[in-house]
Amino acid sequence: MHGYGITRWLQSRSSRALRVEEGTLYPALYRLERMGRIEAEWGRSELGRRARFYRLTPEGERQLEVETRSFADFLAAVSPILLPASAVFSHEGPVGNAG
Amino acid sequence: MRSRRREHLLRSRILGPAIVDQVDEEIDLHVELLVRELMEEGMSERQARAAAAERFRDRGEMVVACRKLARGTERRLRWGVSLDELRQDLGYALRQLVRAPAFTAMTILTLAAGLGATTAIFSVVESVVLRAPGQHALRPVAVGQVEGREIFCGEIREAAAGSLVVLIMGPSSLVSSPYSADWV
Repeated sequence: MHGYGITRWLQSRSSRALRVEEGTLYPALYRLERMGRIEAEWGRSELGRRARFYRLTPEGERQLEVETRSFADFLAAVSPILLPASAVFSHEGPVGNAG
Repeated sequence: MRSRRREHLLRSRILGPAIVDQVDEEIDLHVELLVRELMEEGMSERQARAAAAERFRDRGEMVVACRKLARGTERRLRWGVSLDELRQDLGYALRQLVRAPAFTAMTILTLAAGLGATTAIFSVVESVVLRAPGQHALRPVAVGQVEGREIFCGEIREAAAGSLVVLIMGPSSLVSSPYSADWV
């Protein structure tokens, strides 16, 4: 996938909730490439022009798995705290005043 | 993986400029695709170009940052390739040696004989010429008595006429001046 394709993909996967800033996308891609997590290859894009197509390296795949797991752990830890609290405080007011 | 990396580097070596010089081309394409998308959403080309330019308003800084990172990537890839080449060269050398056992044995024997001879000659030269007797090369430490007092340690030097001088290096309560002693 090339840089533009990545922004489109993220937007459609998140139902347009996420918009990637172009100013941060390319430095991030180049940084990941330097770290050896992704690699790039020139190929033909849909306009018939050359584009750099990015692909995960085996090391990148391993790292993605690690990061995904740690994000899931974080979410699992924080959700039971934040979700009920926000339900209590924003919809029904503080618990003491209810009823 | 390794061969792909090599291929990647070869391509960038043969087919034009390095990654560093390709950042602009990559971003040009992104702008172009973005303009196209905005026009499909109903903007005029001018509006679309303006909007795309706005999204890329810090393009200068961004390109500089990307180029810097790309230089790092190129160094890493080049380093990986030279390690690969070194490994291949070593492997090739070893295979050649295994294929020619007589030559290998001869080489090892020659090296062994050369090293052995050099070491032997050096040890003779060292003991006979470099560390010849009478040049104060050795400085044994003495423990004994001078005028009935204990001497902890001292340095023995050869004096002119065969008698030995003991230089006392112990605590100052002991004799502190060079003292001629023939009991050493």
